[in-house]
Amino acid sequence: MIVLLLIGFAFVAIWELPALVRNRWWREIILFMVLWSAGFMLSVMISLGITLPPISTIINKAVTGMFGW
Amino acid sequence: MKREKRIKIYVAILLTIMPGFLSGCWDSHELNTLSIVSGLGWDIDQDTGEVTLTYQSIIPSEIESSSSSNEGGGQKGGNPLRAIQLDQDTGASPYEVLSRYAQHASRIPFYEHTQVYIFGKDGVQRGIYPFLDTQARNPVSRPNALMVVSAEKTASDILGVQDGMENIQAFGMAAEIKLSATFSKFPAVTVLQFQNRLLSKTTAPIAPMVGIFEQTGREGKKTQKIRVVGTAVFKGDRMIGELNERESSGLLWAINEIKIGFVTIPEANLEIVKAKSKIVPELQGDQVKITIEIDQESNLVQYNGHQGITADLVQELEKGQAKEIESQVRAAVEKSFDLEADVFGFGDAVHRKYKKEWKELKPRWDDIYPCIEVVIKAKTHINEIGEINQALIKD
Amino acid sequence: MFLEKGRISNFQLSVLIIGFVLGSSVIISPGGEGAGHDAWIACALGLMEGLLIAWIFTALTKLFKDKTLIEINSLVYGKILGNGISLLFIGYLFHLSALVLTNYGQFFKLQIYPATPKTLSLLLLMLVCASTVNRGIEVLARCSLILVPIIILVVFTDTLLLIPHIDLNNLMPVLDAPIGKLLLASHGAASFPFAETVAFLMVLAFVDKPEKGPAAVSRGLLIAGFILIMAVARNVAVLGQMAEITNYPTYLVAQVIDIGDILTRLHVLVAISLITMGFIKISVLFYGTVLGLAQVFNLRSYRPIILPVGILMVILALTNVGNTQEMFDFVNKGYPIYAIPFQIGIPLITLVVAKLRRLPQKGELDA
Repeated sequence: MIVLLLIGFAFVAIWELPALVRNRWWREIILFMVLWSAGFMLSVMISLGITLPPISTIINKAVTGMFGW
Repeated sequence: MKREKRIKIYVAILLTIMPGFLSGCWDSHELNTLSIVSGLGWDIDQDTGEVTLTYQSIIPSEIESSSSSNEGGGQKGGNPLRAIQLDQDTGASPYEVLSRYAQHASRIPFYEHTQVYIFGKDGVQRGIYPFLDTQARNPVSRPNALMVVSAEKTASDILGVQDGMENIQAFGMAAEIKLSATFSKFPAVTVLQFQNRLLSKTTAPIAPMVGIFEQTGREGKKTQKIRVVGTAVFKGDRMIGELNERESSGLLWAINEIKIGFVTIPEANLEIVKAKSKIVPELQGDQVKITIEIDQESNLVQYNGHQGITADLVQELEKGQAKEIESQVRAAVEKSFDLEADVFGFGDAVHRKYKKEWKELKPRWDDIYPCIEVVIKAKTHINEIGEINQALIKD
Repeated sequence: MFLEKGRISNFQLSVLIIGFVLGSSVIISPGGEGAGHDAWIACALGLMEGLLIAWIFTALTKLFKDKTLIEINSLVYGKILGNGISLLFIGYLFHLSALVLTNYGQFFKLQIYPATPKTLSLLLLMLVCASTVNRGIEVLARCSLILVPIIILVVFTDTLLLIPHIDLNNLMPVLDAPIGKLLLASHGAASFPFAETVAFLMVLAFVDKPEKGPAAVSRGLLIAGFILIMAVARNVAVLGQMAEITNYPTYLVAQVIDIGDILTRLHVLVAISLITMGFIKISVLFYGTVLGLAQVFNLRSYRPIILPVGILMVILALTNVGNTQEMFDFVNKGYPIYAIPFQIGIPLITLVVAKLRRLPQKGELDA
């Protein structure tokens, strides 16, 4: 599974990065790398079975907690 | 040049991978791995609550061969049973039964064509909640399937009967029930209608009852046939009583489900052309009064007397009809009072009209119901008297 | 401004809005929770509230023509605070997009493809949206011109085919639900889906005739609103009280259609409606997210970040909720409140501050 993820993410990087580097679009590269690594890390965590915090549920609890629903 | 080449390579890769996704491989079911269940019988043991499911499934290959071997059509002996197959299993819960079924079945059951759900008499007296929940929760069952109660002891008795014209017995049974509803004898109740009656806390769910009777054919050969024999009345998910033929007709008159059929009075037989009914609730202080207004049009199809047809006679026949309809409805009303089951939906009618008062009437409905004053007003009109206006034998 | 060179006509805008509003509401009917058989009234009230909210944010775009919310925020609040607020808004768009994906994934996993891994269906849909967003807003608008009328046709056909099964008594008594619950349900209907059109703050900048923009938005909202009201009313009329307890009433209602034993199994059409309208909604939100990010960080193009954002979206969609019931809980209870600051708060406050600061001043319009 992780191998598949590696291939997939590498594919994405290969698709986008060369053009960016060639044009020296540093800002874009930084943002891309930030998002890309976040995505990669999170996917690896999912495939390893680590449960990520369920965001909507957390928001739900926070909001309804405030109003005592 | 280099970029174009890259694009071409990517496109080539995509085109190779995509068809794999388009076929939805994980979820494809080939037809020959499915067993199409035409009717499902539920029997729940009174004491232990064990569920016995009877699957009537279709054998596709047999349908073709039996219809091609039927020469001249309508041959009763043309192996109708071959087109269906019965399987039965028991377990503590419906899903346990399903897994046991898999032990001796070569195919997965497929419920999208199930026309009929039959419940054995024992089961309905205990309560059919396991079925109701499964049916509502699972995405594959059709809301249009019919609910049927077996008048015999078990559901599997009914599913095993080889009936006449239809190859697939459950389809035939569904058609029979719908036909008897069209002829205004007994109601045909779909799962959706049953669920809605159940959800309305005051209305009682109903379902037609089907039983077996024997017919002696040629050379004394006895064949079994199924027929609709009554209407089962439920309270919640349990059956608490039944309506006979007359009461069932009365019920249909009241809830505006009369389509075609006949009214029989001592002097004549009349064919129903059009019928409409309305339930009008009225709250008089604390007393609930329901007026059932029935409007009917009919044709004279048989006259037993020897008089000529006069306008006065027609009026008398109309009055006779109205009386007969009213007494049928009255019979149904009385029976429902006996059973304390609101099969007509009077509660819902009161709710629709008296929003505010309903809130405090609803919890007491069980007590209020038998004390409702029911007034039945039937108006009939005879359109045609047929081709003759004098009797064949004159007095 | 050269991040997006496309322009869309007002007609395309209206159609796009219809597609967006129909979005995931073809599956999750608005106004359901607590309103019972008055759900269609809740829907209608929600539509009115949605129109009000639309009026607020279109007033903002009228003031600042040709500018997306991000640029407006920078002008009104100054770069740092403005970008901060913009990032919050982008976060909302991103989360909403993931929510739609979650709805889509759950429905498909339950009804259509029980065995296919959710990840795959989500990835495929996301890739389609990504590819569309890649080409800009014009392409998206043109897609909607084809898809939306088809789906409207499907909805009307469904309704026509169900006429024999409609029992108007199911809709009575009218206004049966307690007023409190009804108002809550209608606010729920407003926040999902009507007021979500606030996302178009990122799109309205690209309309070719900005003065007619607000009218186009209202038109789109009204049409989509009527379609939804009709669908909700029809669902209740056919299903009776089952409509309240089913999670996917439109789907169940489609299963009832049975004409001559031939026209059955039409519930597949419902699934198709979800795919197409979901595609439009997700694409619009996706577009808003990447465009917004590009504007905040002053990128030269939003294209490079499309794929990573998309993947993160799928990840969020997968981990959004623990189970389906939490999702419905959130949509019915928490979301209507959580969405207020984004749907009403940000546009309204920005509008007020802008007016107070007497913006836009002449020079800034051509930034």
